[in-house]
Amino acid sequence: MRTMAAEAEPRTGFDEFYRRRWPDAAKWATALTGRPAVGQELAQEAFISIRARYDSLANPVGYLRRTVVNLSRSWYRSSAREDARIAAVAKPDVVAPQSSELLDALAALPFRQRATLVLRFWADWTDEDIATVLECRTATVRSHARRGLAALRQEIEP
Amino acid sequence: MTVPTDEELIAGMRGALDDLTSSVPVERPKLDDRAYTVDLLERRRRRWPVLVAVTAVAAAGAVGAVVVGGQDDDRHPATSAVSSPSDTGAPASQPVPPTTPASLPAVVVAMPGASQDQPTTVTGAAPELPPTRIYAGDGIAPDRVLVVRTTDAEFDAPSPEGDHTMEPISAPTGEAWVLHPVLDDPGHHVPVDPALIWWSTGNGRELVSVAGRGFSDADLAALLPALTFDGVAWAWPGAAASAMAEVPAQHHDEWQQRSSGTTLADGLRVAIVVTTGSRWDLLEQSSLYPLVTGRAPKAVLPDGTSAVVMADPGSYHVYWQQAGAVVQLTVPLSEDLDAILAAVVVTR
Repeated sequence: MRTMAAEAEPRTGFDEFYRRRWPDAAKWATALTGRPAVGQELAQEAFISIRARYDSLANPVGYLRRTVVNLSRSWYRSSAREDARIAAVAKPDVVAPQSSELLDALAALPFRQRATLVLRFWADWTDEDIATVLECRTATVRSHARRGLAALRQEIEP
Repeated sequence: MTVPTDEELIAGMRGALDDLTSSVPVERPKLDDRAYTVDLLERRRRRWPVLVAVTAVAAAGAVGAVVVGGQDDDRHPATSAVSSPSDTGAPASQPVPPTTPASLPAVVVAMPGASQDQPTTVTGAAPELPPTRIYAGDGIAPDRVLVVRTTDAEFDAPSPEGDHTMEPISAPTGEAWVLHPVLDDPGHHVPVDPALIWWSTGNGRELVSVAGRGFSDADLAALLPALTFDGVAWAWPGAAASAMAEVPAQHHDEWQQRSSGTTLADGLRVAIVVTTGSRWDLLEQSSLYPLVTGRAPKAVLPDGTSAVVMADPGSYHVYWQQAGAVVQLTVPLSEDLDAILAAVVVTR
C-alpha cells in the first residue's frame, strides 16, 4: 500500500519541483478552503516554506501535502471565526438550491471532515496519506468520511 | 425529494470541486513577487448577499504571519494562565528527551490454520499540541489512571453516533460532554464504563479529553474545574492528595504505526497495531477500556513480557510495551485469549 514515505520521487531541483507540483498544491488548497485566491496564496506559502529547507527534506511531496493541509486548516480556523461573527448579524434564510450548494455544505463541515471528504473522494489520497497529514489513525479517517457524508447529506436536505 | 446516496453525493462533490479548481492557473507564480489578492464571495442562503473580503496579502510571508500568528495566539486554552505546576501541588513532570522511532517490532499470532495480513505502515510527525499528562499508580495496570490529552479538534464537536452516549456537563469555559461507549446487542443498549470527557475549551483550538480508569462520571466532572494548564502541560492538584504519581508523556519527533492482523482458523480476526510508544503511551491507550471483570488485568507473553488485559463489550484488548513500541491486540471475546497469547511471536 502506498505511504507518504514511499511516494518520494526522483530528486530534482526546487524549481522543477515547484513547476511540477504547483497545480496540484494550488488545487488541493483551493478545494480545502473553498476559495481559489486563498488556495493559491496558501500554496505559494507552502512552496516558500519548502524552498527554505528543500535540500534537507527526505520527502518533499509528503512535506508539501502536510504543509498545504496545515495552512488550510489554520486559514479555516480564522475564517470560521470570522464567519461566526458575520452570521451573528446576518439572518440566514433558505433559498432555492444552487449548483454550488454542495460547496456551501462542504464548507459548513468541521475541517477534518471536510479535509477527509476532499482528499479521499476528490484528490484520491489514500486513507494512510490522509491519516498522516491529519495526524490520526486510518480508522479515524474512515470515521470522518462516514460522518462527513452524513453531515453533508443533512446540510443539503430541505 | 429523494435522499442522495453516498455515490451521488461524492459524484456531486467531485463535480463541484472540479469546477471550483478549474480556475487555478497551470503556470506557477513567482514566489518572491506576490500580489494582493481578494476573493469577493456572495454568501449563499442569506436573505441579503454579504460580501466577504477574504484576503489581502501584500508580500511573501504575509499569509504565514497571519496564519501562524493566529495559530500561536490560539494555542493555549483559556485556563493557561491559571497556575504554574508549583502552584498546583502536583509533582512537576520531568522533561523527557525527544526520541525517534526505532524500527517497530513485528507481531504475529502463530496459530495452526491462521493466516497473516499484509501489514500497512503509517509515519507521522510529532503532534504540535501540548502533550498528554498522565497520572497513574505503579505498574502497567494500576487501578486508577487519569489521562488528560489535548487534541486538535476545535470545530469537530462530538456527536452521538449510536456507538456511544453523550451528555453535556458544565465546564469552566466552553462546553463539555461525557461520553460512554454503548453495548449495542439486540435488545440491549447499555452505556458502559469508563467514561470519557470531551472538553472544548472555547478558544477555537483544542479539544481536551479526560479519561479516567477508576474514576466515576461524577469524579471526572468534578475534576474539570481543577485542571490547570501551565502553557506546557495540564496539571491536577488532586493528584498529590490522591497519592497518584504524575508521569510525563514521552515526546516523539515522529511516530510510526503498523497495522496488521491474523485471521484465525475459525475465520475470526485478531487485529494487531504496533505504534511507537513508551510505558506512558501504554497507560494512556489502555485507559480507554475497563479492566476485565473476573480476570487478572495482566498476562505474560511467551517471552516473559507483561501485558495489560482490558475489554470492551465485543473484544479483549491486550497491550504491552516492547522495543520502543506499544502493541495492541484486539481479540474477539469468543476466542480463547490465553491460547492466542501463547501463540504470540514478536520479532525485531
